[in-house]
Amino acid sequence: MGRAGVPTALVGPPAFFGFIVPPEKAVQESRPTLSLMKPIALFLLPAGWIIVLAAVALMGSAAPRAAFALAGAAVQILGLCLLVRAHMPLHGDGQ
Amino acid sequence: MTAPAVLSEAASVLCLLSIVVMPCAAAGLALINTGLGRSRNAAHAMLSALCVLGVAAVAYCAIGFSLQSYPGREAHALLVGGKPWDWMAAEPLFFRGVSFDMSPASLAALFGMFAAGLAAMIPLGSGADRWRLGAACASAALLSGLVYPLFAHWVWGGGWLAQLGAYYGLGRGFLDAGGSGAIQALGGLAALSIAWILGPRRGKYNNEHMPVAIPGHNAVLVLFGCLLAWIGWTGLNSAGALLFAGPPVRPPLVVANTTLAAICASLAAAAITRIRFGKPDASLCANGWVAGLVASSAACASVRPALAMSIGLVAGALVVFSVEWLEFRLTLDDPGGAVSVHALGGIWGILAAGLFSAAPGQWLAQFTGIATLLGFVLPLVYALNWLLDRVYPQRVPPQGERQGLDLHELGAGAYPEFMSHNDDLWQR
Repeated sequence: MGRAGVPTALVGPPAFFGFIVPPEKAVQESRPTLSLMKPIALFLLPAGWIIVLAAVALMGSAAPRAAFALAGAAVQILGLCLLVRAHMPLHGDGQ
Repeated sequence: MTAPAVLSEAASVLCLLSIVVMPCAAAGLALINTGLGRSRNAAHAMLSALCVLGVAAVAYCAIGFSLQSYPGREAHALLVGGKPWDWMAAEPLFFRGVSFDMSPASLAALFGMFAAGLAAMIPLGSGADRWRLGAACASAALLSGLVYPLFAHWVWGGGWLAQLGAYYGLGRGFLDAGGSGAIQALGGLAALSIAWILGPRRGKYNNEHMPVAIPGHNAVLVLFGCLLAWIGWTGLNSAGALLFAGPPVRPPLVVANTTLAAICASLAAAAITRIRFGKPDASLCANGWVAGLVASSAACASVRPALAMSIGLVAGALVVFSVEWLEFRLTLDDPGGAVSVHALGGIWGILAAGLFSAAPGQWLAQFTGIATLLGFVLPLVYALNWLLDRVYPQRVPPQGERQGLDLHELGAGAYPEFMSHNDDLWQR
């Protein structure tokens, strides 16, 4: 149990981004997922940047340009979230 | 800015004097990082700052300026949609193309040398108490010799970010007079990479991943560092505005904006910590102060003082919540608050320069700059430091961390007459 009687799985970092799974299962099953997360995140960050650049260079009018740029930013935010998640400890990982 | 600045003799002298003051910012950051770390690592923290500054200056002199350069000089360009995208300078190595005759290019070279050092020092805050001296120097060489000059060329060397206004009608192109993006956010993202690669300090998180408080060892150093940083930042922003903001530059406005943003950020941090914890928190107020300085840099030459104050207020509030969120929710151990202060503060400063600008499309130019930081700088810095870690492990061994980096790496402590922590006695 975590603080104030709340189950650890609900207060600790694995609850972040909806990753609420039993601790033991998380340790066993999430390793391959986590090892994939980092390269995917490092791919999404430049991919989003290229979408923003394409929007600036190829779109003529303001509205589609802004929409594509925001879409690129959304891809980057997804990449950043994955990168953050990939660096968070799993349940059961002690120091 | 895509055209070289035209500086009068008086403006050139003022610019040189402003650049000479810039090392105070580095001294301030060094004191802040030292004060926020443990006493057993204090000498190591100060020596790391000196060594990193030195390595960064040498790397920038050897390679950096040849990649950065100044508007109007030789550069490589790619044709995209019929428009040249200037992506890298083509200067000779070792400052050989610089005449050092008070021309704007020579002042920009000098400015760049100090700015590269400042950017390279920022990750010392997030890697405090566990980052080996040699690894910090190697990482600084990569940052100041490759990553910083490339991005600085895009922003200040007449590169494609600066050309967004001329070619695509996005305001005046990417605006970053004092380096909220080119120095601070870049250094802050490097700090984030370092914090991830090194991992948290031993004992920082318990088995339930709840953080344990490891308070800084000297609040006086931290707060004195803030005052020194303020002096340095007035020089940094003034010199940056004179060299890179384009006319009209009003140095008194730059100094007023810098000062007011820092004050408001610190007051915001004090008020929020007073409301939330019952008492103002000295280290968070110091972080707020520096976040205000960081956020003020981008728009220091282009906004009125009232807007600079609001930029500072938001930066101060942002840093308080961000420090807590990173530590508690993301389990990121950042003893000096470098990620919150420099990365988030810098990104907010860039965004604010776009939001508070009347030029049409300016926000998109600023937005493109932020996307470049996240999509190019962060993966590049992360990958370089990850590779470096494979070749030369960046983290000290556990016994070195317990013993303290002063004894482990330097052989002598900063305070030999005093024992500040009980566990300093371990394994001596």
